[in-house]
Amino acid sequence: MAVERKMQKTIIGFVPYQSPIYALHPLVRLVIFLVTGFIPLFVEIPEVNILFLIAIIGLFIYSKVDLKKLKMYMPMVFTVGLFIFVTYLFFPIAKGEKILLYQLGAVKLYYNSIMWATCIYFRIIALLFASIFYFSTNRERDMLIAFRSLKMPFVATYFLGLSLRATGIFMEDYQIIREAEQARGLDVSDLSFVGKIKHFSMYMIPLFTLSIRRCEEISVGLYSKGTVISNKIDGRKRPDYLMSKNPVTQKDIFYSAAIVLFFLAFCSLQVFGGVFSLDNSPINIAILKLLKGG
Amino acid sequence: MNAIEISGLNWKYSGKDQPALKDINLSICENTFVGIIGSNESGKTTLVSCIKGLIPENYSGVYKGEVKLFGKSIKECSTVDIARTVGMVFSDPDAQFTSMSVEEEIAFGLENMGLPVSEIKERIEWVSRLTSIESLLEKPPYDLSGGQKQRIAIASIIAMKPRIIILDEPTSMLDPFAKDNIFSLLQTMKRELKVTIIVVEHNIEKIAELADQIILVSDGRVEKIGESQGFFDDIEFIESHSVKVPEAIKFIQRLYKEKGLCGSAPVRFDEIKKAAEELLGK
Repeated sequence: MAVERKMQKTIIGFVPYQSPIYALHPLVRLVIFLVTGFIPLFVEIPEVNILFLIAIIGLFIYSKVDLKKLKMYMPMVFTVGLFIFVTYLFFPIAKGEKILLYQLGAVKLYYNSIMWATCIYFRIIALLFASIFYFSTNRERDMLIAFRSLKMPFVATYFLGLSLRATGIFMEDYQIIREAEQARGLDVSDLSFVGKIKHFSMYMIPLFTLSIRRCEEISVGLYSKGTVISNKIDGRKRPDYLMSKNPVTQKDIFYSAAIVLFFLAFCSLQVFGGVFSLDNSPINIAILKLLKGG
Repeated sequence: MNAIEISGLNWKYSGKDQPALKDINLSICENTFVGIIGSNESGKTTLVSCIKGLIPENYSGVYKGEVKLFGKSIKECSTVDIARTVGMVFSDPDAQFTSMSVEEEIAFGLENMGLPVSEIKERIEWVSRLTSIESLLEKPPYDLSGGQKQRIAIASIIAMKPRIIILDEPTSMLDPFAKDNIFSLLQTMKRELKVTIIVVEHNIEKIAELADQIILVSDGRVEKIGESQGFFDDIEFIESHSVKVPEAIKFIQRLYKEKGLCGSAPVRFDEIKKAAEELLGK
């Protein structure tokens, strides 16, 4: 029995074939991405960022993104955490009252440093998931539509589209070279970590050679289609088929404006009222109370 | 009317000792299906690149002679003019696919021509029906097979409605099944479109089936030009230029000789089969 494919491959990851979020214009989706990407930067309270993270996961579920596909980002989630906590352990911040939790030789573990690391970690993770959400619900063409809707010049969006396509070709070539090496008996799993890095650098030679050849072929292909890098053809504005199929409606502008207004209101809570400062974190307050014996 | 007239064409790539094309004189009539055959490095791609205007526009070298498209010198044509007159499909389907979906890929060339959006839409619908790619329109390039990509490359050129379509080894990077699909598409193009089609191909059998006229290129020269019927009469001459004549054609020619028949033996498989059955008796 044929298995129904729920997710479609893109250069950056996977997107669902069907999703309720596709009802929104790509411009609105880009605005959501920008807003969700900036919100964590205004929030210091880890609990709020955790709630924000849960909301993003809720959006993933609502958008019918296969959560199993997110597994590939897990190493990044752990690596980011490791780097942040190790950095704040060895280079503690001087900000605020220093409460020493533990000392091992020269290494001192301060509470405020660990708490700040937690705050930064959840900020970055929330931001990371907001980005993953965008790339899991937008195909490359949606991104181009969104940028063109923002009146980005044709040359810039064209360059972006071509770069995305070139990235795809580069990755396909990389896969071909890897398979060719495996076909000749190379087992990369036998190599040490340093060996793997050295070996990876060796891929660059055929990859760049292929890329140069591809560049020439692509430029010849573009020439043969009469490509002119300008927004004008015979003195008239270049037609845009993609945008004609996806026009920005008043409804889309209203949604985008509403999201931006919500963002501004949210930001002003922090900027003018410090509502989301770490000092207001209930967990932070409770732990500090405990440590100070109050 | 002649679609293409080439007179005294010589071309030498910079850095090379020998010219790639030597004194080419050639005329191709409007609405004919032309097959260009020859060994590797014989100058076939260089010749069609000159017809498309890629040479001398995109390559450096020494250019002599003249190429005319429908009576107008190619040197007087702009990039957009040439794109409107001559469409070209290359052998590597990946390098031609520069957009993020099939629909955009077809629309891209039409946008370059400055067509109104309504006409772009009509042409996409027409060409996707003609080339049977309706179900692929929304797909991104990495969701397509090599054969599908090549079909789309051909569709995107047909959509531009050029008066000349050049296909440079369109099946060289495809599997046998995809090759057959492309040849049946070429058959459809020949039947449905009123355009001059030039195909550079190593598959002589298929070219003999489709072409009205065949050109043999060897060592930068046009060694032979003629209608497909009768083109392979001198097998030794053709094979002396490193081109392998299909066994079926060799067989029917031997049979014609043995039976002492005059005239050219057929070159299309169905005709060969029919002639062989008649000559050998069922």
